[in-house]
Amino acid sequence: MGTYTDEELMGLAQKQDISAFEELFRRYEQRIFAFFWRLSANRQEAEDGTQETFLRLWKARVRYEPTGRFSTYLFQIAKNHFLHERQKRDRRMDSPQPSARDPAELSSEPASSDRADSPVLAGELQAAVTEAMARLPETLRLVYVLTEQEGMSYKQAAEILDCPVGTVSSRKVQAVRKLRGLLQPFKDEFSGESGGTE
Amino acid sequence: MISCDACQEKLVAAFDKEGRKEDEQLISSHLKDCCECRAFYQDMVRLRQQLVSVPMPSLSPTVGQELMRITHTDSLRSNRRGYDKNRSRQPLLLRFPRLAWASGVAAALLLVSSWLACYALTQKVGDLKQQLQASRQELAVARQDLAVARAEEQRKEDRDREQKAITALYLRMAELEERVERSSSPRMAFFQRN
Repeated sequence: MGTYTDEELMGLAQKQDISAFEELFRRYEQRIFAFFWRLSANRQEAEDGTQETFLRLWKARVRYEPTGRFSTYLFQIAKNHFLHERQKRDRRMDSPQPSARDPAELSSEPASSDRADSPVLAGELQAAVTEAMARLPETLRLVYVLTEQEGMSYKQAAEILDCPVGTVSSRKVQAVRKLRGLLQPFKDEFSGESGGTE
Repeated sequence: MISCDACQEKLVAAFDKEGRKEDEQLISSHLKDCCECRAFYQDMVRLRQQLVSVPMPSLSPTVGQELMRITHTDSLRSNRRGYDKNRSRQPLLLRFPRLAWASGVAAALLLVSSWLACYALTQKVGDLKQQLQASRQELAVARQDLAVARAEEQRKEDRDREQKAITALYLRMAELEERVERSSSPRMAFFQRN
């Protein structure tokens, strides 16, 4: 199974080949889990999202046509599930989520501002970065996770997000600016952490 | 000299290896003079380093086990559905072999009986044709007889008519002779008297 391409494995999975689907799962489980974990910063949500993504892939295998990259197709399923779950949660809670906040509010309100003047440990800085990520609007967070953390090209991210490449580019700039603003209180520690690495 | 916004946009694209070659010179010259954009660039680099260093939990093996359990069950169900679907697409006779045998036997019987019926019918038609031929011949003979009989009858009628005419002539002659005789008798008597 290791020698097959993703598309070939999907072709086999269409013919009820469970081992082909298992191989696909092995190849992508960690990437999809990381995608959800970086978007939600919640292990349970990430595990549920991973499972649901692969279940949706299994159910949609009959309709799959190898017109593009398999990874794009899989991440589209994952993205759709993530957005669908967020909408459901927002409706259920009937209150704005941190990720859906007004961008102006987000940029003016730094992450963990009460700790701005206290010494910050490396773990705390990582937590602050994670928190800042969680506070990005979903559209920006998706672009940032796909291009920065999944290492995808703007073109592939645009295909997954179903938007033009220029939109991906502008959202990426916005995401970097917002993250800078949110991590402003940690500026000194932020600089110190990576000092000399440039 | 480009604006800070434009420079930062180009910086992000270049950092993601999505920038254009011709923008590199513009970015370099802008960064030399703009400390804000230099800070932006440094933060962008540090942000990436920080995100990479954030520990990533690993996916619980139970997720994969549960997923495979569900897909196995679904696959069995799909196979069953596919079997039923394929089966329903087969012709009825293939799905029920006994019915196929019975249909075959019935068809053979029907064929044999049809052939026998056709044979009997052909024979019957042949007989009827012969009978018809014989009847036609009989009819022709009867017509000839009838014609002969009619001719005979005609001749007989003609003879009767001729006989009647002769009889009538004889009677007329006798009558005339008698009248002649009656008319000549007084004269004879006169002559005889004279």
